[in-house]
Amino acid sequence: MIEIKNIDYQYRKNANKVFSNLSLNIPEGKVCGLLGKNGAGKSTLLYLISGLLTTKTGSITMNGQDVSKRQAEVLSNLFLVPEEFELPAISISEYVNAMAPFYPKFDRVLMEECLSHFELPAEINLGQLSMGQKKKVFMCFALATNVQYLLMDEPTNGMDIPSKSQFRKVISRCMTDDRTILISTHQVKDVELLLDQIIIIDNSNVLLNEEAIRITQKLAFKLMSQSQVPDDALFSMPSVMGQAVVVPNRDDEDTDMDLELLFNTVISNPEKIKSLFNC
Amino acid sequence: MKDMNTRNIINVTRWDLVTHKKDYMNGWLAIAGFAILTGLIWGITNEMNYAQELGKFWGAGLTIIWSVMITGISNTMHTKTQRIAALTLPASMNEKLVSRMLTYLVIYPLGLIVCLLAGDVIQYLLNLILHGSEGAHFASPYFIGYLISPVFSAGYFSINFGNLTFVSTLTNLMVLVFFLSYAFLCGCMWTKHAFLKGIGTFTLGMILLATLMAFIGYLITGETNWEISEESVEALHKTICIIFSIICLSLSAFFIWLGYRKFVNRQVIDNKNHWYGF
Repeated sequence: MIEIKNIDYQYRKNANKVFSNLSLNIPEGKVCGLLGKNGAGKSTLLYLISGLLTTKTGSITMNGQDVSKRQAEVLSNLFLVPEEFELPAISISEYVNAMAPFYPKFDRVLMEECLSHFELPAEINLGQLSMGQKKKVFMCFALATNVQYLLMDEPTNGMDIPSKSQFRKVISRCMTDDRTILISTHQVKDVELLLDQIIIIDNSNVLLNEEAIRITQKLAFKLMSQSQVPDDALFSMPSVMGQAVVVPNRDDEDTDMDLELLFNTVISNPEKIKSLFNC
Repeated sequence: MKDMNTRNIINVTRWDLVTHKKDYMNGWLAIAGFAILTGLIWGITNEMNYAQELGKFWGAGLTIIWSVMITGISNTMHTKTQRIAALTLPASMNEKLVSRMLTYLVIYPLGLIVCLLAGDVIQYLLNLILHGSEGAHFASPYFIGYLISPVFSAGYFSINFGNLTFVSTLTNLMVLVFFLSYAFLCGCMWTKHAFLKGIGTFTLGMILLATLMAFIGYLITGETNWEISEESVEALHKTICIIFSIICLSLSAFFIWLGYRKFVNRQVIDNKNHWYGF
């Protein structure tokens, strides 16, 4: 489990704090979605978890080990797919040969399978690929490392429409019980069906950290006409098919979670959401 | 040290060489190309003296390149994406530092020497073809000699402290250590243009130091009636050398420690609130 305890973080002394006394637990064996507004600190949080940034207050531990010490053992058990990255202009096999020794559980067969899912050749020079293709290769490598914690920052940015569905398939296929995938994204529609834990942060507060199944037990996501919107609706917004509404799920209705609606509901009604989820 | 593993150092070194092979190859080829070119120019001039001059040029040039390279310890981490790649690599920061020094201060310079020799042989063969047997003297055996001698004799760092052989040699060595440790600090502190920034700050520091010393000298001579004779300066030589060596050694230790702190605490996004990890 990744445990974040009472961390403070700011980039410069006189700048606003990105995090102030933030605490958060990221459970094991789940695909977690990390959502937040621009500047909420999603990328900063991923950097802190992967030891790229360190803080003097509070602690971040992964399986009980302090990530800020940047120990090889800790780093070989996590992989970060950043929003922007560089791949050297070498062949995939050269890249794999240089990188795989760092990851004891690296699976070359899985790498080839992932590449074929993304319709990429197993042997090509990385310098010849487009940014979207590079992202796919990087993602395939990340999945093939078989690390316990896989962190992804805006993974679907730069991907075309077929690639987004390939991405979902590859992630579902590679997901195992002992693996945790933390996805930070604004493209909620791309990952909506993948997530089984939703984390929403805003102004240094964790507004929601719940399992998707529990969210749909507590909240119902509906479409209705303007006149049908109930008084206890937590959030509503116009859509082409009427009003998209979030209401407390008092009748145990089975509705599909709409991440965009959920996000807007949580951001606009943090207190009600907290009381509803008893957190 | 528990966070030092030879396997990890080898892996990081291999990763560095493979992922930056284009940069290294460019440097090596440039040296070989330049060696061939200077050899050919010299072949056209057809003067034996130039062989020695060229040897000196390459000797001094490579020594300077080697010193400059120390300031490049972090130059593969000057963009955010490069820092992400390097810092997330599963190895401790100590292993990464050792690997970087191994790559940049040993493997890369060795490659440069090999390429220089290869360039030397090629220029020799080309000169033979172009100028016949008269071109034989263009094969230069001077390169290796000039490669090593300036580094160990500290020729271009030397300060004249008189004829105190052991003490002045020790002082020269300490001055060399001081320069190299300062280059190491600059390399750890700046990921971009570290050499130029190092030269700039060093020059500024020297101007300030010279001004301070001149001011102190002025105070001493202005406020006292001391007469500093040449004999008294001569008598003080040994003491001055030892004090100077101690100052150089202390500053070197401080620079290395500070550079090390900066390197191992490097952040992906420069954080002024996290100065040297303190």
